[in-house]
Amino acid sequence: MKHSTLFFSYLREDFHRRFWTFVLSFYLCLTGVLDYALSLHGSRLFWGSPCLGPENPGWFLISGFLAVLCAFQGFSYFLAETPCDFYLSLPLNRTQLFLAGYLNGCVIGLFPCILGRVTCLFVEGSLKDEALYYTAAGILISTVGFFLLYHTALFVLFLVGRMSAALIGILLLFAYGPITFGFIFQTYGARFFETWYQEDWIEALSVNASPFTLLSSLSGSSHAGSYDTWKFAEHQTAFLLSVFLLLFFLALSVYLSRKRCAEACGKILVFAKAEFPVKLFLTVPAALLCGCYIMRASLDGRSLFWLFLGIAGSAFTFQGLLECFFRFDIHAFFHKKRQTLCLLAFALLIAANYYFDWQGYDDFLPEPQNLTAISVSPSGLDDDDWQTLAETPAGLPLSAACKERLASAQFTGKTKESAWKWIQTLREQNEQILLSKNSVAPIAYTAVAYFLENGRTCYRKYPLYQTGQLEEFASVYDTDNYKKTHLPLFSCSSVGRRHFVWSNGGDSRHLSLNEDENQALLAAYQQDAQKFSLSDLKKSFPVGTLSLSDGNYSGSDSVFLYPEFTETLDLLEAANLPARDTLAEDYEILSLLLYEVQVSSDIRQTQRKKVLRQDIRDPKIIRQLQPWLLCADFAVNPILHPVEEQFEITVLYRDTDGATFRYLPALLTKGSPVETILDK
Amino acid sequence: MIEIQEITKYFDTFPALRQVSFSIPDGAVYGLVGTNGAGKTTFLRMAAGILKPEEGQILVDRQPVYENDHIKQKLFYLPDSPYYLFHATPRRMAAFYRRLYPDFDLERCMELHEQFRLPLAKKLRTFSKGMKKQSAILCALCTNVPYLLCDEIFDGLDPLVRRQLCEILRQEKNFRPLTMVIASHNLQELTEICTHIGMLHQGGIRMAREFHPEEFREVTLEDLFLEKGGPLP
Repeated sequence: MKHSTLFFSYLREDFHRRFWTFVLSFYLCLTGVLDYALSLHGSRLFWGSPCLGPENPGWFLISGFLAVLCAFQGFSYFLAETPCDFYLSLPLNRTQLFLAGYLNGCVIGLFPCILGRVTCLFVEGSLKDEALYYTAAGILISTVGFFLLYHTALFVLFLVGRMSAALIGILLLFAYGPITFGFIFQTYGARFFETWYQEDWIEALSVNASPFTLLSSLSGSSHAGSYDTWKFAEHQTAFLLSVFLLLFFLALSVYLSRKRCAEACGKILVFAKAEFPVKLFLTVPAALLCGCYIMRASLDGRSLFWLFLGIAGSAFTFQGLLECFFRFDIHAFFHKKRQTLCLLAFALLIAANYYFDWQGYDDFLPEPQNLTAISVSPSGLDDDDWQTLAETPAGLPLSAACKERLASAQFTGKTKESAWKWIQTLREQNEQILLSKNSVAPIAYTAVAYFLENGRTCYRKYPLYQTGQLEEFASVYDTDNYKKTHLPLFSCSSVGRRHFVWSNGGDSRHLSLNEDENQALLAAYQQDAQKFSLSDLKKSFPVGTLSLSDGNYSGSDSVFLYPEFTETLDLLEAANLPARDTLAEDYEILSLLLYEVQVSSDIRQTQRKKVLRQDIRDPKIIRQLQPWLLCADFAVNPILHPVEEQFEITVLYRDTDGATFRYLPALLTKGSPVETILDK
Repeated sequence: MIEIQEITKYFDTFPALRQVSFSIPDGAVYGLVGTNGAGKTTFLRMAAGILKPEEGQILVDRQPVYENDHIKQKLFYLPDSPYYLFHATPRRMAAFYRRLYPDFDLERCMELHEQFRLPLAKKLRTFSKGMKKQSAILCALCTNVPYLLCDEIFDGLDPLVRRQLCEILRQEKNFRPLTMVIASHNLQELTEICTHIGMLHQGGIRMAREFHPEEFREVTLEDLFLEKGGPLP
């Protein structure tokens, strides 16, 4: 019989053997279609996502599960002696055996998924470009995802000789990136990332070092909404990396399948040469983690002796445990002393790499004479986005907008020197705070750009821990140069055809002013803002916002108004606006809905949940809390005026016209009696 | 012809076979005996192309057998515990073998199963150990390959079935060119069927020669086993 005929015969037989998986695959995909169909009518079977594209978490999970199942079902015979002997004694070579199992796995796992997605397109009903695009994108990403997980599972299957080891190996491989890079190295490099602006590098590494999280990021299924938003351009890097990895794992799988010997069944690791790399990948992170915890448990929390002892003890223990696991023999614990030393040296090398981060603070500060300009942009000063920083422990990487702001606000001359002195003081203060025994969490961050004489730009991101750290910043804040770049209306020369919009946080009003009045209001604002200093900011809360609109409201250009902006507020009051009224003093409050914010964090993300604690209608209690109430949109200075972050309030108040009732999201400033009231 | 040329096989550091050389002529029924752990199964797995010897080679029809699918078409390995596909029936297994072994005689396989009263449509997992083995032997015979490598085929079979099988093997050998290697502890059956005998002991070959039943009228194979294999524990 010809070999090709024999191969196709085996291919058919293998498919026949695995037919039940094909049925299961169809069944799962049918539930996916059903779930999608139900989600279009607002109900759900499982995930209830109405997305046709890659973001649908249902299809992501189905294709992932089928990929692992097909790999196990097709090649698990390699893990037991009897079936392994049976298949290897058949008149087929290794390539034919692999190819038949591989191709059938593809058909079983992929075909129903593609069919299911196409069915969803018909269920959706419209065959417009957008629906076709998302379906095609969904199929493409599902296919890439399936192959990546399929090949990863195959690689593990060919590397180990036991089912239990294969399952553990796949789980470890799927979780390796987030645990090792996202947790261990971030723990070691926490201080490094305090100042390093490109912190997303470690985030990218932790996501991309694990096939599962890489695919989750590629498909965007972890933050799927109620409609498709997936764009190929945003996921190009993840896509290319996935394709590269799937080809890499396929090549490895083919190589291992050919090299694997029959007597490997029952062993934990099939190839003796793979032992050391596997130990390296597992022991080093484990030793680093244990070393870090043991050091933290020491008296001063940063003893190098305990760090060394922790790493050495853990490297020895984990190496011994892995050796016992590989050999299935407890006596093997003390074997391979040379390997233990190598692993220990490697772990110590990594730990030593972070030595400076443990014992010192970022010393990068170019001399003023080497700088053409300097630029600073602290978050938490007139900053309505500061809360996102509080939710991310190590702060956020610099956004493109922040970089743009830094580029446009280049201080030279005296402002440059003032900024430089402030950063120098800030660094010294941070060093003292961080090297003291009591670690505190930063309130906000300041982004810094150093424009060097050689044309390079270096970015840094320093944490701000206390209000006092802003003392010297006054010499920068009070300059026109700073205000020009941070206050949009400050540098505006003409109102033009636009008009002003005033808001007190709850109510927005478009001002009907003529050209002269508009120009007068703008000039008044610019004069007030010029006089407004950091010491004024320390005393005051915003009373409103002012922005320019061209008909479509946009809040991006809005500026905050403070009680010190007397000329501006006078003009606004002349236009019949309650420009000086505040929630804390002037409005009649009817009820307060008090919510408690519960924050839960895991490796990947932080989640906020609001729970209603009390509906306060008692006027006496309302009067007690009113002086601390601050419109949520005006809590923009967390460094100077911190708020009670664990509470959010919805205020029902009577507007100044006396006839309108409005709801307003609010917060409480620090020191409010809310805890005492809740205890009662 | 199967030629074994100085093969050596280690499992980790344990030597399963050391410098073993002998040959199995065409048409022979080669009885392979030996103590426990002597390397009989290892030898059969190597002869079937499953294991690769560290040193030496096994040639079948003058070609190395390992990773040689042309040669593997000519031989069938019947292990001690036969494997069958998940939820398979004897009919399903027969269909499977028919696709992979072009000379498989499906009709004869059905007839033999009926002769041995093995239900063709019943799942093999519901069969007793002996019934599973019978079915595997019958399938192996129907592949019509020139080389049959059998590991403990009589183990677990009742005397009646054993006798019937011996008879069928004898007929098969007369009917077509067939070389069989039978590794077994059951010396009684071997004396009834073997034309050659080989003895493995502690990884080495102690004896490889033609087997004439008349030589063993006074000395039994068991005596020979005790003499060549050394004292048993």
